[in-house]
Amino acid sequence: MNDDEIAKKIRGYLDQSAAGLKPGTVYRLQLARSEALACFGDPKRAAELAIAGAGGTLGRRHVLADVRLWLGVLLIVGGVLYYQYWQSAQQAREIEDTDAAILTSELPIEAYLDRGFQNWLKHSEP
Amino acid sequence: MAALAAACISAPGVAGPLTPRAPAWSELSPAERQVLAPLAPDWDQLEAQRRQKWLGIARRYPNLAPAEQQRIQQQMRAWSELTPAQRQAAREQYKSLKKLPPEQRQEVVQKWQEYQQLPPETRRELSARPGTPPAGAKPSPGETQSR
Repeated sequence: MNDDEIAKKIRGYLDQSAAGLKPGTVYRLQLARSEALACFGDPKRAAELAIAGAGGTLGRRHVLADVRLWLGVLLIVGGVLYYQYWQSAQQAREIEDTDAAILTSELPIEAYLDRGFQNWLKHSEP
Repeated sequence: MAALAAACISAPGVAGPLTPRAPAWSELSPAERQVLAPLAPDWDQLEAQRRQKWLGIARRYPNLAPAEQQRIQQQMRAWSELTPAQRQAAREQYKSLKKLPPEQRQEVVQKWQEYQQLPPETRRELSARPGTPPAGAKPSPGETQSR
């Protein structure tokens, strides 16, 4: 059997198999072909496709990892900001409570500031 | 996104959104202005945090007993005129008195009245005694800025 006969046989088998392909597979092959042809004149894009082809969806994974990283950073920053806001609100609330209590108390403000009174209180403690 | 994160992390960026609003006297409601009337002359010079605190106290005001409302009105301006260190000292002292047993707490008002009856030289001597006054407390009677 010479080379021509072998080529004819192989072509026959390939045509037979191609005829049995599912419509979805044919469509995907057509898409891949047109994309490959479109990138034929763009070496950079062709290289990206080659990487994607070699490593599955490597490029897309890289972008997804980037988005996850930034979402994580934003979550942490948001958490820190919220904690600071909460802490500052708590502090303000505590000061407001204390000041309201001092201002409404039966003791005048002077009593809270008078060192002599504080010493006298300690002295007269049972 | 990187710029946004950097802006959020940087200190001035954090301080910005956490700074409370400082409403001007003219922006207060008539009810708030009535309660906070003793502070009217100095209101627009108060820091934002202090304005918010006073507004918080004004919100509580309607729920207070008439005697408490009167005391707040009487002491508001004097309290506002204290230095930050004096206010902090008074808060510390209030907290330490609050820890006393209820029966002793009741007596403190009575003891203040008794203390007021002491001769001035005795009070001066008591003031001069070493103690552990809260930071910023006035060293002797008559030196306080409050009324």
